[in-house]
Amino acid sequence: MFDDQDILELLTDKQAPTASFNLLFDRYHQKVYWHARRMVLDHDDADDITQNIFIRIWNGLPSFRGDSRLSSWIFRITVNETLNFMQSKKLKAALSFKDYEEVLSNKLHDQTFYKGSAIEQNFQKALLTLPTKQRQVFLLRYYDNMPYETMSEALGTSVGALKASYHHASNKIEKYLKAL
Amino acid sequence: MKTENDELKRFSPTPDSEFGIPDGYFENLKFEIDRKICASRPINHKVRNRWIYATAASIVLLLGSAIYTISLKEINSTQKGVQLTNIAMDSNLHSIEENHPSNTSYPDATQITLSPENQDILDDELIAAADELNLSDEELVELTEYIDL
Repeated sequence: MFDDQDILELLTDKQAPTASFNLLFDRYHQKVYWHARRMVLDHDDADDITQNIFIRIWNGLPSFRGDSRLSSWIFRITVNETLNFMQSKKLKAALSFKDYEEVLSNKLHDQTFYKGSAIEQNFQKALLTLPTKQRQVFLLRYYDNMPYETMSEALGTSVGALKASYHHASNKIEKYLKAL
Repeated sequence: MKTENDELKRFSPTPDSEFGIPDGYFENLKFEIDRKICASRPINHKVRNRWIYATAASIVLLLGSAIYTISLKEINSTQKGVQLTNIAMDSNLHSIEENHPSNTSYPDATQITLSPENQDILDDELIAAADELNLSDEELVELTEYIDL
């Protein structure tokens, strides 16, 4: 199995940009997709985001100098691209006098879209009540088990702030679920 | 030790599997990304410059050819105009001279050099000019003999 070091070694060989990109894609595409999917819930939106992220990675790969870890760099792109996408969606929703989170919440009832149990649906709804950045921190920690240090590098936020953010998010989710 | 994370995870035991994705999505994803990367790849600069030069050269040639054709037509029509004026003038003066002989010398219409391809055109033009000048048939015959048509 290839790791980040193998990808970085291939990156130094200017003749093999496609090979390093292919390795990187194999290693990260599911993580990138699922992060986007958990944030926007809709498959088509997550697909658009994932494609944009990998195109940005492809364009930025030749100038990647290894100042940060490859994983942090990829997650920074993922987080930013997802946030930008959601901002534009929220803007469009506001223009049509709709609440974006409410639109997503309603989609959870669509059986072709989400097949989770009632408890899982409630958990997803609880996630939607979190502020966007707090939700992002929670998802990276909860689903990806991302260390705070890596998250800090990717999001440009201090470890202490991230821990506090995760703690607040957990409390809010618990409160939401207990109130049901 | 049970962590806060583990505690929360009991609410969502298999989170990702509950989100529906189309069959074979991840297999097609790479293909779709490769296709978009190829489409967004900038055109090779050398190839682009060659295309620009070739297009510019074609435009210049086309313009040159158009200008040459227009000026050639302009020259032809000017030449015809001059020739017809001379013919008309000669015939008019010749007719006046017969009625009022004088020693005045007139330009010799026979000096006009007619190109073979213009011969037919000038025949028609001459008859038209004669009509305009109200020349009689005799005068017309005399004129054609004079200019040796």
